[in-house]
Amino acid sequence: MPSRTAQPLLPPGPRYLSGNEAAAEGALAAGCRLYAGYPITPSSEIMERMAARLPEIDGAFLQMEDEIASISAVVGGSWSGSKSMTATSGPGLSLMQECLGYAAFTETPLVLIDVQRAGPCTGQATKVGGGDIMAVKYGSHGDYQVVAFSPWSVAEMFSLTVEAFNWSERLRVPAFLLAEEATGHLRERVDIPETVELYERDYRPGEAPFGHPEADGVPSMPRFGQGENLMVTGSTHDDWGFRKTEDPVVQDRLVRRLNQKVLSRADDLCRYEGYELDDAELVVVAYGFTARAALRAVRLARAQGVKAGLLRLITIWPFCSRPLAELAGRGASFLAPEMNLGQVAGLVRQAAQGRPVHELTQVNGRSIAPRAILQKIGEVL
Amino acid sequence: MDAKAHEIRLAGLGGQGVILAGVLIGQAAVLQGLFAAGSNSYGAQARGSTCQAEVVVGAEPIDYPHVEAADLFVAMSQGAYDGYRAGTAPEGVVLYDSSLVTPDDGPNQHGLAVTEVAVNELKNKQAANVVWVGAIAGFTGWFSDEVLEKAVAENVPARFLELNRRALARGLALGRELRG
Repeated sequence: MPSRTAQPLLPPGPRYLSGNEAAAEGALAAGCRLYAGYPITPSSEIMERMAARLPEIDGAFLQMEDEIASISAVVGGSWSGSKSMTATSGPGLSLMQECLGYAAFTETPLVLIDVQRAGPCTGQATKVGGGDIMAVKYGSHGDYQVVAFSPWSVAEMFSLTVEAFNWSERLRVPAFLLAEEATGHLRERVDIPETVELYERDYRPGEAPFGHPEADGVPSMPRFGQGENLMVTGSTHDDWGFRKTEDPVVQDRLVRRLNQKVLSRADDLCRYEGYELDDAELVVVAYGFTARAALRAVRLARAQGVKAGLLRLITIWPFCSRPLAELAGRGASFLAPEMNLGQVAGLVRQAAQGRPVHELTQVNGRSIAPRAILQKIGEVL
Repeated sequence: MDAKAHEIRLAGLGGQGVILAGVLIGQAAVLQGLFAAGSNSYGAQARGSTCQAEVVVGAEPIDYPHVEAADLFVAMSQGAYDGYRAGTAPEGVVLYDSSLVTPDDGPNQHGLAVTEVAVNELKNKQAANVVWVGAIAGFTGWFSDEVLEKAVAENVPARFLELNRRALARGLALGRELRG
C-alpha cells in the first residue's frame, strides 16, 4: 500500500484551536483537496475554515444546495482523484444516507465528519448529543461497513481526521469522524506535528477497479481521465463495473467482499485506551467527550479507594469487542455512560460474556458531568 | 503555576466581549507553554443575554475541560454575577466590575474599576474585555507580557490594536495591584 510522509499546512507547534478548526486542518494535512457541503450547526466552522483554506492551496470548495447534493459532489470529487470530504450534523446525516450507501457499494473513499447535536430530527441545534452511533453504521439499507472514530479532544479532531482519510483511502470505504458539539466547539491546545503519515490511493493500471481475487481484497482505484474504461454504478456490478442485476453469484461475492474487507481488518482498526484497568472491578466504557468526564470520575473514584477503570473506545466502527471480552474474562463488570439511550451499551453487552453492563443515559442536550458518573459508580459497585 | 488545573469563568452580557476574553486567556496560556481548554455558552440573542466563557488552565494536560466549580469567577454584569455566583468553588476568588456589580457579602470578592478605566481613560467601553484579560493575567501572574501582547495581536483587528494594547497594560496594572 503506497504511503508517504507529509507536512501539515500549519507550522508545527502548539496552537489554541476549536475542535472544528482542528478537524479542518487535519483534513488539509491528510491531503483533502475537495470539500462540498451545506452548513449546519454545530459543524459549520469546519466548512468555514475549508472555504477559507482550500482556495489558498488550489483545492476545490463547493457550497451545495443541500446535503444530498453535498455528499453526491464528494463522491464525484473522489472519483476525479481528490481526497474529498464533507461535514454535517444529524439532520444532514439523514439526508446523506442514500448516497452513503452508494459510496459504500461503489467503494468510494470519502470522509464525513458528523458533529453530533441533540436529536432526533432537528432537535436542539446548538446542544450536544451522541445519538448517531447507529445511524452512521446502519442508516443506509443493505449490508455494508464503515469506519468511524470518536475523538475526545481537539488534538484528536486533528489526528483522527487524518486517520479517517487514511483508512478511507486504504479500504475504499466511507470513514466517519463521530464528533460531538462539545468537542467541535471546545477550544484546546493542539500540538501540530512536524509530519503526518498518509496512505495514498492505490491505482494499479489495467487492474479491475471493482473486484479482487481475495475474498477481503481492496481493488485498484483509478480516477476518471486515467484511460481506464471506468463505469461507476450503484447497481450490482462485476469486477469491471458492468451491471449484473440478475446474477446471484456476483451479488453474493460482492456484498461479502465489501463487508469482509473491513471486518477482516477489525483488529488493525481497533483503537482504544485504558486507564486504571489493571485491578479494575468496574470498567467504565466511554467514548468521545463523555470519556473526558469518565476519566475525571474514575480518578475521583480511585481517590476514594474504589477499583474503577476506564476503557476509552476510539474506534466505534467496526466495533472493538476484543478488549471488552478480555476484561469480561477477568471478571469485570461494566458501566457505559452515553449521550444517547444506550446505543453502545448494547454492543458492550454482546461482548461482555454475561457480565453485568450498567447504563447511564443522558439525552437532555447537556454533556454528562463527572459527578453523575461518579455517583453511578457508587451505586453499581 | 502549581500542578492543579485552574478553572476560570468569565460571564457578562452578549456584546461585552466575554467570548473573546476567554479565547485570549486560553491562547495566552498555550503561547506560554501551558495547557488550556475553553468553551462558551450564550443565549439565542446576539446582544444583551447572559453569556459565559469557561477556560481551564493547567501546567499538565487537562482531563475534564469544563468548569465544575470556578477557582476564579469574573463577573462583568450584575445578571452574570447573580446567575453564576453559586458556581464558584468555596475557596474561589470573585472579581467583579465595581461600577456594574453589587456583590453579596461573601468572602474573597474584589471589585475592579474596569468599565470606569475603559470609559474614562481609554475612551472606549468596548475595550473593557481586554482590560479584564490584563487584570486576570496580572492577578494570576501566569503569563508574560509578551505572550499576552501576541495573543491580543492575533485576535483583534489591526486598527484596534493600539487601543487594546493600552487596555491590556491598564488591566495588568489593576490585577497586579490587587495581587500585591
